[in-house]
Amino acid sequence: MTSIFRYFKKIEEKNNSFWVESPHSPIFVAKMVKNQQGRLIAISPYLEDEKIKLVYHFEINKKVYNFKLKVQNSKTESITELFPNADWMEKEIWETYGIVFEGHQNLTHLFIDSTLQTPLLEIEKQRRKNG
Amino acid sequence: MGKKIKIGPLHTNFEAPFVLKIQEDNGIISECNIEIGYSHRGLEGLAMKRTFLQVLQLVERSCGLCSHTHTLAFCQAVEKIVNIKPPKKAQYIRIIIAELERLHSHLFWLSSVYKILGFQEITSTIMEFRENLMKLLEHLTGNRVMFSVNIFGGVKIDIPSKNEVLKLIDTLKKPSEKLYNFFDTNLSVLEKTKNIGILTKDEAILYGVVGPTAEASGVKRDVRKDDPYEAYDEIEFTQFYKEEGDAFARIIIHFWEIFESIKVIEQAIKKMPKGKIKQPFSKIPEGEAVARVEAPRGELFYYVKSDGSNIPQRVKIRVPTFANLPATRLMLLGEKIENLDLILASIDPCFACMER
Repeated sequence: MTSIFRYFKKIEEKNNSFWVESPHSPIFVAKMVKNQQGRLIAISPYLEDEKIKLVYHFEINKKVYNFKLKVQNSKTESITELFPNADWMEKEIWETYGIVFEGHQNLTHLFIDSTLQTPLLEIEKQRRKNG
Repeated sequence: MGKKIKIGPLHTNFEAPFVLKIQEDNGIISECNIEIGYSHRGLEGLAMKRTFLQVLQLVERSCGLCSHTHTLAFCQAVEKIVNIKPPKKAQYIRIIIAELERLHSHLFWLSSVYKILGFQEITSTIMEFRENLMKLLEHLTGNRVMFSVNIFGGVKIDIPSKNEVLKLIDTLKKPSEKLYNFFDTNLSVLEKTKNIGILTKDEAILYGVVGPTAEASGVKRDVRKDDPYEAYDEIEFTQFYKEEGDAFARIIIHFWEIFESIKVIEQAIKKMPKGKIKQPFSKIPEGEAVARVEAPRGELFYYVKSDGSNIPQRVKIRVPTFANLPATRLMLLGEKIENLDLILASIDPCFACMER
């Protein structure tokens, strides 16, 4: 496991899982995890100081590793080539937070009907602005 | 060139709405696409506008069949942020209710599987002896579903009548064994389920499937064993797996889980200590945590982020069906259309849970 961590400077173990702040791209992290026979559990987007951040949750050797990756200009790389189960996760994030996953083969609606306006985050921001 | 068929959103064998678009060639599925979203309620968005206590009630209502595991995972994540552990007695109570929930969920699912296989009488027999389990859950918690047992730091209820639980669990053993023997030996059942809807081990690993679906394809994956939570490290139970990856294997794994759940409940009842059922605390500070729980369908994952206020900054839920359903496309390709319902049912899908 230390072989993968030599690429990451800030690694913290808390609450029985590992937290990694990473300046690397999602594909770089995904390749490292794939080499360790890891599994993608979930991708969590959240808003902090008006910026969207993504946390990629992987399982490696029965432990959870959470990689915090930044999003530039609402775009990032898709990891569906390495982890096909990221397909629906990235679709859901696209329709709620408006992040475009470059390289995704079919970035279409998953839960929200195509007739409704998305991303939902933008609608929420407008709603708060207009009161 | 075959036909394109759209099935749904209403189905005879599934309670939740979803659409299947399949391309068939001479009755064989050559392509299929699942469209979901009919039960989406925006729970994660709602969670960001409610207090932690309100979110606890909200996540409980994601699913009727695995409500306890949702609140368990959410409570565990919050307890990790606060840095407290519930008392040992509360951990055992959580395990007992979780396993009782696993039993009633698996029995409910088995009744629908037998219905698809054409055994209507067995469906009502299963629901009949499941009814005793529901009455016990109502007696212990006050509700047949959505038990409202979990609270941050412990549980709200005690289990004073241990003998009652043991007595009821005992009554489930013989009927479950009878059902299992019937399933394992009936030629009609074997014909309809063996070598149907195969998911290979490599495909299961690639798609990250979880729970009995993974175990049926030879992938040993159970959070209770891999990353034990509550008092599961003090309880002995066997983790099963099969190599075939077909519908028969997935159903058999569910049967074995029923038998093991009964053993776990018996052990938990005997080992449960006396003492407090709740650990108090004052405030949820800033922080973030993840929690994993083995729901009846597989690994349930929660990510909770707090900014120090009484409203969570983010609650992310990844349910087991969200991990398993995309892999059903591989199970369906090359299969006959008449096997469609059985293959989809064999992964025990919960659409309401998945779509939140």
